[in-house]
Amino acid sequence: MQAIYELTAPRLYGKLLSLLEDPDLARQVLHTTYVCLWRQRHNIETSGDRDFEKIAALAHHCALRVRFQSRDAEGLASGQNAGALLERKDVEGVSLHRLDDGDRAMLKAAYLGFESIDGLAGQTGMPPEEVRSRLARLASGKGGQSDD
Amino acid sequence: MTSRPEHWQMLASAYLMGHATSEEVAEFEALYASDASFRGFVTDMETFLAPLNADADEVTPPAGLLDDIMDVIEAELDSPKERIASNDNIKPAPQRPWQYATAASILVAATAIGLHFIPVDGDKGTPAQTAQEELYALMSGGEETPSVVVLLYDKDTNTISGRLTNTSPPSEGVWQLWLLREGIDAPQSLGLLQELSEDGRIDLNLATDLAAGSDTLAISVEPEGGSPEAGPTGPIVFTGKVDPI
Repeated sequence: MQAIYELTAPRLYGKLLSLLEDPDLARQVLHTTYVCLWRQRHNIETSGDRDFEKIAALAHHCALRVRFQSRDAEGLASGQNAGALLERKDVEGVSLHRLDDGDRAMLKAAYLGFESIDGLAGQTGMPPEEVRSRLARLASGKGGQSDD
Repeated sequence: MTSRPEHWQMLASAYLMGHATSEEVAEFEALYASDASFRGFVTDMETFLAPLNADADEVTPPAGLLDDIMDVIEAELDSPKERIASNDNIKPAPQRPWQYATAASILVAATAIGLHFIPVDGDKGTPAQTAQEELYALMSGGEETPSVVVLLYDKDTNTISGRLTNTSPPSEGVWQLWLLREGIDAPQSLGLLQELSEDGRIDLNLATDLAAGSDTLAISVEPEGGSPEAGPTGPIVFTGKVDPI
């Protein structure tokens, strides 16, 4: 656990500070993330260089719990579903590299910084509803294209 | 009208990006709990987004955090009960919402005390404020319009008095007040907050002395009559540290 912590905690803490904008909350969520990781250790299916991404996703869930203050959302992070989160397989055929720079920047601002829809709309000049729809399509790996 | 896949995209994206409304959060959680295909959809979305985490800036974590984590792990290793719970992948439910809610309360405590404190009238049988009293700020994390319950504690009579602002008791169930004290693992019930007067006052006699610094209070929504378990079973709606006036 100490080795995993030393390898991953600095980047996770940076992410959580960006998301929560509060050192005390970020510390608490980071603490919860590693305790949860330890509790789920028997279910973790390692996959090399994507292990960090799984831990980061777990931290993201914990941060969402704090953001939304929902008991059920907390269950996503540290209950049975955490095992599925840690065991998940890579998705074939989709890659963030297929996004253009603008779309990737918008997705990154929303996912790593919880940038608001209005804030992104102000930065991009797009109407808020269009930003919301575009984020949804981007996050689904559709490269900003509509489903039509 | 949006198709289901498009609606799922919007819902999951709003949740994972942190800009979901309370209604969307509730819908997300209900779907996530009940629909395996939706869970799979969310997992795929998270897997797609996960490489973005590599772009996060590195910041050295606070000193002592690893020691705190290892303390928890070592304590669980020493506890057969916790070891069983760990192997079952489920921590005892009553403790979990409390722990997270306690963390969440830290963010808003300082400002909410200043913005929402409402003194209790001295002519209604409640003690006037003195140096012996302590202020309790219990609050939700509403970002735009925080809902707040502020309680005053009188050490001499061991009573809590306060008023509600921006909020009201639940239409179904009751509020139950809980104490979390440093050094004690499980939350302790302090009683039900259901004696609400017409002007929004709440009074409650306590069987336990409270202390600033080590105590945190929380309110959960429980079935009529209170939690059927030793700890909270419903959602935590307010939390706040006990601080001196």
